[in-house]
Amino acid sequence: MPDVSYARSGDVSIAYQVVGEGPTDLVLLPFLSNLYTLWQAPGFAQFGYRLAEGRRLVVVNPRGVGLSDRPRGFTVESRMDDLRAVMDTIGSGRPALLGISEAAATCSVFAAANPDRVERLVLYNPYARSFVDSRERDEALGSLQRQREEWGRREVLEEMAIELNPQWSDDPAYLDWFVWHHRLTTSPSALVDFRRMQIDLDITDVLPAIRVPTLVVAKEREREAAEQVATLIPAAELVIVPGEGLAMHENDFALEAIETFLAGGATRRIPDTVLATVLFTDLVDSTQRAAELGDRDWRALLERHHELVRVELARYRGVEIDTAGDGFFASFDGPARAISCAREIVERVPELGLDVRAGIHTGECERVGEKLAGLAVNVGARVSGFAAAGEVLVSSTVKDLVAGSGISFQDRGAHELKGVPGEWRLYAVSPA
Amino acid sequence: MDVPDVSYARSGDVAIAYQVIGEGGTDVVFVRGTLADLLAGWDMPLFVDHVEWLAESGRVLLFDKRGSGLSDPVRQVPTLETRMDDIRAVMDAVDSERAVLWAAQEGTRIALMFAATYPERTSALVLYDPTARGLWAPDYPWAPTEEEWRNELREIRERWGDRRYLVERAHRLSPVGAQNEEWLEWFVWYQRRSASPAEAVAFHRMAMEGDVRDVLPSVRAPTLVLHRSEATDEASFVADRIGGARRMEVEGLHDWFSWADPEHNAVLLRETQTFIEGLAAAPVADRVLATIMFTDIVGSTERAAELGDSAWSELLARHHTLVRGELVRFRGEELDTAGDGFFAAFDGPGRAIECAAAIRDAVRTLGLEVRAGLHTGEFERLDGKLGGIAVSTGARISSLAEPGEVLVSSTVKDLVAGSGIAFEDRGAHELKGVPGEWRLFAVR
Repeated sequence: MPDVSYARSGDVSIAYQVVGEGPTDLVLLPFLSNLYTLWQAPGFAQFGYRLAEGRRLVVVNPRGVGLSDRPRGFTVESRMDDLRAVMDTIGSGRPALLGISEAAATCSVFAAANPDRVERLVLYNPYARSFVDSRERDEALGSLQRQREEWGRREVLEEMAIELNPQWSDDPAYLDWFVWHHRLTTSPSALVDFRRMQIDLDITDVLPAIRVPTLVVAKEREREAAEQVATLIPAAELVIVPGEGLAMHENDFALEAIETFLAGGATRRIPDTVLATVLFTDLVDSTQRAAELGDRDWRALLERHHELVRVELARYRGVEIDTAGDGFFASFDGPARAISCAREIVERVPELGLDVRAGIHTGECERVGEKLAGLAVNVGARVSGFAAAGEVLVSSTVKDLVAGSGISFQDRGAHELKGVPGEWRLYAVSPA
Repeated sequence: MDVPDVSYARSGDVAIAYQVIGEGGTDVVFVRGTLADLLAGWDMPLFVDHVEWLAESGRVLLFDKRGSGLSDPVRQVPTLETRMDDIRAVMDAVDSERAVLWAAQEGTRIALMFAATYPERTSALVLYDPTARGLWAPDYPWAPTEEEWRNELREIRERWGDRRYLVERAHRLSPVGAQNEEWLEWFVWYQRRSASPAEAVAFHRMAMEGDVRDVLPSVRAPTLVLHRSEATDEASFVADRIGGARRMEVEGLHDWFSWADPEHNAVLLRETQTFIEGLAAAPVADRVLATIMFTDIVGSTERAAELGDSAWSELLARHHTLVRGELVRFRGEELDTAGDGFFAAFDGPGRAIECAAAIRDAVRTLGLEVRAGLHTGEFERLDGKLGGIAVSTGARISSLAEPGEVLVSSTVKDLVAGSGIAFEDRGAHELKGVPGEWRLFAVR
């Protein structure tokens, strides 16, 4: 059993294991997991040690489950923070990432946002979103209360174990492991919080922004979802491996595909595009206010406004890119932080007797020196143009990525954005 | 032995994982002394032996305290009252009407609180190294000082989960257990699995803040106190304040986990068994621990005169409806209405405080102001009514409250430690007809 250490992600402790030694790192994010029982899965330890041959294998237990701290709520963004915290703690500059199932989404968004921190990306049984159809989604949400009541019961977990890996349905060691592993991984209320995120998470818009060499590995039964993911990621390889169940260690095919991919030629090209969340703020009726106040007073007021916005940007790790007259353009490494920041700004600026509107979008941006450019930046600017005074308006991409954060939205309908192709559905952030 | 399966009881909104071992006979609730998880215990044969021995007396109920192990995580540090409810939820889930509580260290405080509050559900208490209070006090010099706790909490925050730290901890707590490599390895993983670093900090903060000194005299259950020689003073403090409690030092036992030292633990188990077997069908207790609340409308005579009789009685009726609504919400039991005030009882002080604050806020919508007084004490129950000097204490406290104020005795304040409820010291008072001096606190 590999020993466990803890990294600090903010004030949250994240458990991780380092196995093996070597010149390269592979960071594994398992699906809902407890690092202790993970290695007790029949056949897993052997698989894990093989994966660690000739390299450092780092297994991360993201927050909310297992051995890590369990603050309430799950978001992709906090899981990305956890991944980064572990990488920083062990000095892993640019590892390969391997994400399983839901954790593949975390790895995908991380790779899109931090191409300079990811050498290669392996997604196992990934999916872009859980539900296409809103009726199915509502049914899934409706069943959460029942799941909460049933979670932990042996018969329920055994049924799940058989559904996921029918090839082992006669193996009592597997069934018993599955039951205890899941009980130790999540309690009933934590499971429901997790499912809530999983149901609403949608990374369809993020996948095309991945610029890191990517391998998608999936079992035959997950082919459809995996094909969709592989098609959306530029130049991703897709390998469908045989097997009856979902487990990666059911046979050697997945391991062989991963080894071949990881042994591929070096890819030192640092991409010049990156997934970023952009925030635009703009003062409402500023011309009129400026005329009323006169130049000097207006400038003084504007300075106080700038100061206030900069304090909030610093607080939420936003990077100021530009001030266009009386508005701000900033970027964030996570959409939930951008929303929280924008909320603070629109709530606090009225203290100065001013009103502000804000627009947020997450998309692929080109890096030009310290600046960001590209269509996604235009989208962000256009979105903010539609916001009412005191409103934070976001694109559907942003909304899909903050699933599980507890932030709620009001649908503002479909819009055309000047100079941007297609129709855009926009959402107003509900007050906290 | 196969690992017993796990079920979940609901304590309010929180799932509490529990196991049932054995059947028939006396029910024994095992309230463990520290953080734990239900599965890990079964990886340790010494622990299994201990539980199986307890199960010879009947059914043993094991559970993970909220915020640890397989139970739901909690967002804030729970109060003793909430944690006592967890025992009740587990007992209800398996239809256990009465049980012996076998508790160790920090767990003894939950057990003591439970025994005083629910005498009819507690057939007896067995306490190993009991502790009434977490923090040093002049009359309780055995507990660590605030500075010692601060250091301990800092160390836990920084090092919990780290192998070296857990090994040090094992040597400190369990000199016999830690001699054995396998035991050490088990302990390291056991602690990690029980709680993450933040959960360990929360648990130990709770252990620091807990205080059940005032509850001890209200415990009516037959009580056996077993302890190590190094815990003699603290165990005596507890045993001396519980009527008829028997105390016994287990010679040669120096392990915090008594079961880690099977040779000496055998003595402790034998004593437990003899004690449980000797329990006569105990009479149903007629004294209970409860929190009482008195509320009173401020300036009611003047208001009544201003409004005239019919408008006043209409207003009073609306006041009563509001108060009763809040009583239902916080599980309060209405005992009397004396004119325009209420007298109610609660099974936990935290709920009583929340209820009093809710009543104060609610009646303001009627343009009325109330004062409220709360006290936790031991009451006699006669024909559904509560009596005893503690009732007078509560009534006197409420009369000292300012308009809009919720005033409580120090007993109430001590028992809600960890709830996040803040108090202002209102100094020492004499209460008419009640002996002694009483320190009162206003809820902020």
